[in-house]
Amino acid sequence: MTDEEFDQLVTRIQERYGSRPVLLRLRILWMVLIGYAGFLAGLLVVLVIVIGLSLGATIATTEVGVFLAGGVALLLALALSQTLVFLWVPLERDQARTVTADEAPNLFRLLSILEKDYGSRSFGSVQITPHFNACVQSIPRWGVFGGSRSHLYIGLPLMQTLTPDQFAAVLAHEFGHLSSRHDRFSTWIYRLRHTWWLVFQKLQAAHEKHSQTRVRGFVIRFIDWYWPRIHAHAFVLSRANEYQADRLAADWGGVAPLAQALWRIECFGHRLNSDFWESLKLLARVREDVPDDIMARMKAFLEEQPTAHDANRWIEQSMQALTNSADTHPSLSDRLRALEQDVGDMALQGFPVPAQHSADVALLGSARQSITFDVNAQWVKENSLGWQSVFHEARRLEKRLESTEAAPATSTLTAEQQWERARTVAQLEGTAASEPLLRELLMSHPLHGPAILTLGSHLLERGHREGEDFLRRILNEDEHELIPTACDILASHFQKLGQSERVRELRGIVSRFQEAQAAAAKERNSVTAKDTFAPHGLTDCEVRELRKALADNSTLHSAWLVQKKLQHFKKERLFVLVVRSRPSGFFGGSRADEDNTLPRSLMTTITLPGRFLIVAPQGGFAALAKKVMSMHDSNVFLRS
Amino acid sequence: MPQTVNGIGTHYYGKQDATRRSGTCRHCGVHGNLETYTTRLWFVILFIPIVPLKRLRILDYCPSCTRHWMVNPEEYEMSRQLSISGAMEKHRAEPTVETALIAHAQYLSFHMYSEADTFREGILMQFPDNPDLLVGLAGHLDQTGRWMEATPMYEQVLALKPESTDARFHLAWRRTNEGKLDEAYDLLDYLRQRGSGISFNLEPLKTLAVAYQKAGGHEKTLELCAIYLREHPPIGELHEFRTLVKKSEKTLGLESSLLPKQELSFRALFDTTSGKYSPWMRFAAFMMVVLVLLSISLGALNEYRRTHRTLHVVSAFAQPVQVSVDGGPAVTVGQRGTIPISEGTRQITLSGPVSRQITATLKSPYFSRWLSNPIWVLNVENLSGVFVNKVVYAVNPVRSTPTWLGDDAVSFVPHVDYAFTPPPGSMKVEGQNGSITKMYVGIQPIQPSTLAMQLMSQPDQTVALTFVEGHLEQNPNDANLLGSYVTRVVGDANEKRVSQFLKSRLWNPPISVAWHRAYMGLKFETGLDAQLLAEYDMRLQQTPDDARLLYLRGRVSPTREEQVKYFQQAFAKDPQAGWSAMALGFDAAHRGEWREAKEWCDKVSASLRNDPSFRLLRHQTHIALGDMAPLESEYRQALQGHDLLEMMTAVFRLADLLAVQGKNDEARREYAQFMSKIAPTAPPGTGTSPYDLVVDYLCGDAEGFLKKQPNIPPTQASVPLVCWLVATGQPDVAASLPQVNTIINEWDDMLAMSVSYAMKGNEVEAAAWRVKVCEQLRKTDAQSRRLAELLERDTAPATEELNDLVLSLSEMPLVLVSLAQRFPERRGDLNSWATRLNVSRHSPYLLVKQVAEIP
Repeated sequence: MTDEEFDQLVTRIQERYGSRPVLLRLRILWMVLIGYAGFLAGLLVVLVIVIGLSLGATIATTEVGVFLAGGVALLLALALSQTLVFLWVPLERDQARTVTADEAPNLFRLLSILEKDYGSRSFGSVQITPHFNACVQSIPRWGVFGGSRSHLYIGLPLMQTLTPDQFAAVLAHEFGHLSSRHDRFSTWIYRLRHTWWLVFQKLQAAHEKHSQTRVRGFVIRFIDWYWPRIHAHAFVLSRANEYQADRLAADWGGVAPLAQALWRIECFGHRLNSDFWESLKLLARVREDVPDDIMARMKAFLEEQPTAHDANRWIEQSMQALTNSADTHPSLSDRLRALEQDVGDMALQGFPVPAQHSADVALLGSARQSITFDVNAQWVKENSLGWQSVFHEARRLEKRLESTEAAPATSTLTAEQQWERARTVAQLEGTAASEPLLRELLMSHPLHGPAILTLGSHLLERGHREGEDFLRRILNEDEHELIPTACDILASHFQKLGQSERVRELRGIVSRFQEAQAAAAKERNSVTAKDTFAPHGLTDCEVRELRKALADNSTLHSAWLVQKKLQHFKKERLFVLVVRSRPSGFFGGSRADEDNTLPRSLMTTITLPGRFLIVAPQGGFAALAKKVMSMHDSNVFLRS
Repeated sequence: MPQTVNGIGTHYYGKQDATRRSGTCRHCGVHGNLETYTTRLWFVILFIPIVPLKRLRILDYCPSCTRHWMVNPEEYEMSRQLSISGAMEKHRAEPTVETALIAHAQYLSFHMYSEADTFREGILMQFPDNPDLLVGLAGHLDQTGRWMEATPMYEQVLALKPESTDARFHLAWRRTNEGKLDEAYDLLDYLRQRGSGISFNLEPLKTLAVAYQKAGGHEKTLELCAIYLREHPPIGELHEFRTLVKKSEKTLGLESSLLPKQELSFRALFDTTSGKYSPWMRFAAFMMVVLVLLSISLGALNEYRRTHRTLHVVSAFAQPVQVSVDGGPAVTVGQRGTIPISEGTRQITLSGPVSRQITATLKSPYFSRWLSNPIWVLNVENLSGVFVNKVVYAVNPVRSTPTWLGDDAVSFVPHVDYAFTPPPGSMKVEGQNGSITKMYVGIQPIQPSTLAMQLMSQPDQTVALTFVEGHLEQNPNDANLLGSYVTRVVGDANEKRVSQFLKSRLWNPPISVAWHRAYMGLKFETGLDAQLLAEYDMRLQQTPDDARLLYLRGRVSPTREEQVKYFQQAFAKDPQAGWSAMALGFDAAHRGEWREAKEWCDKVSASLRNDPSFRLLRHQTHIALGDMAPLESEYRQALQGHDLLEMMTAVFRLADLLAVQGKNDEARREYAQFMSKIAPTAPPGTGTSPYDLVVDYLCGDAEGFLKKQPNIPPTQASVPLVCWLVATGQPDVAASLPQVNTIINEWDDMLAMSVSYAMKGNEVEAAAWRVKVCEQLRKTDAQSRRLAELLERDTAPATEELNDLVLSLSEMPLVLVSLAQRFPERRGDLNSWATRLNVSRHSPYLLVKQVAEIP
């Protein structure tokens, strides 16, 4: 299922069950039962056969009984081994720095309070990660059949930027998902969805990597059908759960700390994604060794005040971003609205700065330094290969750039060469560095699709509306194959700006384009006598060119040309050319053999402004040829 | 794919628009010239095309395995033209490297190789020295198996763009294959950089490592493997990679390994795609699971069979038997039934005709439970003849001898194919010398009368009486059974039981003549005749025309004259009834009127032909008349039957017939054959068994007996021995035999002793035995009392008085010779009479003959 189809499915479910939570739960329960039935169906079939064989073994003659017992053993061995392989998907929890109660008593005291207040079970472990988030990871114990152990992952950067009460509000939200105060069904579905998601990810990966047996192929097909549907239903429920978890967190620690935490996370997230990680990528291109102080760098980066332009851009994005179907978390504005908070009030505070008295100091205490050291080391370990891959790739790009720059001046370069140079610079030094080259290319080739997409996307990222104008160039071109990509970029941009109407409009364009594209491909894949044809519509010059090419073929006697009437992408025309060799004999009969060899010989010699099909009057295309030849003015060549 | 069988089927004929390319077959993997052409599929007979079926475009026909793809030629042609012209038009509209490569790929995908070559030349001129174009075209050529043409292009790319990883990748592969490993090593420098695994396929490293290993460059192999492992740690789990590394490490003698420690993964053992374990290890793991499950399955099957056995209950009783196992609910079994039972020691309780508590241990060998089908047989009182027979099906089958099941309360048969179900008459066997062996357990049918005779000879007759009574309930006309029941009962309590049993059902409609005859035969009951006479008279008043009542009334008549009168009336009323004809036949035989006797015999209806009395009458009548051929044939036929009693009767009567004819050797042979048939495994006989003595007696071999006599232990006393002793003038020896009272307990035996003593001249002992005879006779009916009077009387009885006696055909001659000994004046006619009646060679033939021959 494509993302588009998934979005539509989520929307449909939201519209149908959004106001009917009981029905939604029943529907999800039904889907879960289908899922288990799907998994167990194969096993049930095997079990029925095994029971049949076992009964047969007890009533059969002695020798046949032993043979059937052997059959039972073999079948069970196959079933068990396949079940083991299929359902026992080993999942390991993410590697991170484990923190203990001895190291961080304050943190565990807080967790203990939360566990008690929420009535939730304790976590299997508490891990500190280098990521700017906090999450709970549930590792399934029995594959899709339930049972899991939860681990809490806390991003150190998150602790560095939030105050203790804000951080506690974030933890309270996570506890909310696992709390007994959360309704049990939702908790169960939340865990189940997460577990199944992990299992299906593994299964899909295995499916793509290896050829599957027929039985497992059947199960994979079932999963392909089943997973998007249960996922979509659970998605709608999970989104409701997010609101509920927010409400529980607000009830526990107050609305203000949670709202502040959400605001900071959103703003800092935009800033990190937009600048910090990009700058780090650029650093990787010039520096071979991986920095071992990533936490300090991140902290220092966030403590610096952004420019007013950037700050306003990120505030705007944080305020206006719409809820989408890529994440179960609703947008910030929706979450704050649900907490009866106005996102505008938050914006009035300006772009946030990291907390003076941060949660890491308060909760990790003296262990903070060793934890930070370990988290840095963990980040180095995780990113070492990737970092050096970028570094070495940059060296290759430099060589390519050198050879490109050794070429003549830009004005004499072809569009391809210009694009190659701009692309290399973008990869090596960032899109901002390639902006002049892209603009220069678009001056000479205003409709160069890849350049428009790159520049337009870059400009929109930086908050420049000019990017929209560039992308509009593609949208204004009917039948441009990059329309879906351009629409996606624009839709993503408008999503951030909260312009839902324009997002819908662009999604509609993509949908219509894809439908038309599929229909166009279909009508261009075949030509039959049942199709409708029109005069060829060639210019005189084109006709002259064609006649000249036809005349060069000495075997050819006459030719008829029409074009198929097309419904979609009419610019891409489709012609049908009927060719006949010289008549032979006294009665002027046709020469089938020569007629049939003509299409192949003409295929590479004639040129028409579109795709074409050359057929002879005999053979499998006789009906089509007859129809073409009977059309008025279709005869374009007749050897005198 | 076309298919022909013996020249009939489908076949391609014709080939148009053919192209060839060098490539690897996707089916068999063999590299060769793959051909693409248009042809026609025909239905053929003897490979002669008969019916054209359809035109086809054959794609990539492999000369090695002949497999290929087939498409509709028109659809293929349309797709080819539209795709290529579309790609070409796009390239014309937008002449870039990208569109050129698409058009080139379209030509190749539709097998238009010459057109592709022309097009390639054109675009190489259009975009000279373009590395991306060169790499793309070379890649296309690689895919169509034209590696030689692709190589210069990659080399050109490397010259133009030394950092091109695509060119390095393909050239390294070529150099590796050419054995230029160091060149390949240099070309793959980009893969040796840290982080290369994120951007590139690392497989060339492994290929090169393998090549180095083959060339002995183990250090290089380990270096490349270490890089691979660094960039992609999961490779360290794969069996193939580990084998590669271990081999080089072993060759170099390294103590430490660069491989990570491998943890056991059950999942990977069963995952064919995991690559963590070698195929044989995965196979072994799978087989281990199979073996474990097989063991469990077989164990469960074994236990199931152990606890689900069948006890076959076989009963010869007419009454149903109740069988209870371990105090469970009783199961009612008729002649045969099955009861589910578990192996182990079981308490089996029988009730009904017999009450028994049996402790039986049912156990079969553990391993035999899978391949054998044992049964356990409970033969109630061991009365049924249960046998086990091995049935061999073969072209020339060997006849096997059945084995009788033992005397155990519950018998175990280790394997049975057909339990009490007859096996099929024939089975298909493989080959001329093949054979199939099946085990069959069955029941030898035995007449209840035969069993009754055996049972009644046992000291405790309780079971026997129950057995007989059960069968008599079902078949009240079985004269043989009634005979055994009445004549062999011993003991007051048993006699009372027999009397009560017979009396209680005496008048059950319809009246059974055999039953009444048996009741009349109760010698221990006094005054029966008078009671019966009164009863018959009373009933005859109600039904004066009842032939059976008339016959029975005749039997209890006090005088012969009256008897004959009633018999004749009965015969007149119902000539078919037979009883009256038989009685009149006996009357004639008594008088020595054998021809008249035979006439009456012929009038006896078929229903009475098996009556033992009638058969004896007929046997003696035929001997007396010298007409033995019909009987001889009947007896020989009876010997082929299954009923032991019938067969024994037949063999001794046949021996009797043969002895009468002087065929003593044949008589002995028939007897010997019979004995070998019924007891094949018995040790060779000494000729002193009671049956042997009977045959000796029939043959009149007194010398033979006298020779055997010293070898006969006194404990082996029997009726035939006594018969011989009295016949050879040794009554004192007979009288001294242990337990003689149990043998000489009938009045005729005692009379024989008296005659023997008298023959020896010992009148004192003869008189003493005669007194015993009279005492015995006076205990029973009027006829007997009358005989006692005649024997005690000092005057010789008149012929009319003797005619009035109703005695058996063996008793009458004995009485006559006894009287002849006492009354010499009548010796002539009495001996003559006795000789006329003394026709059968059975005892007391020899005694009577000797006495009668005394002048």
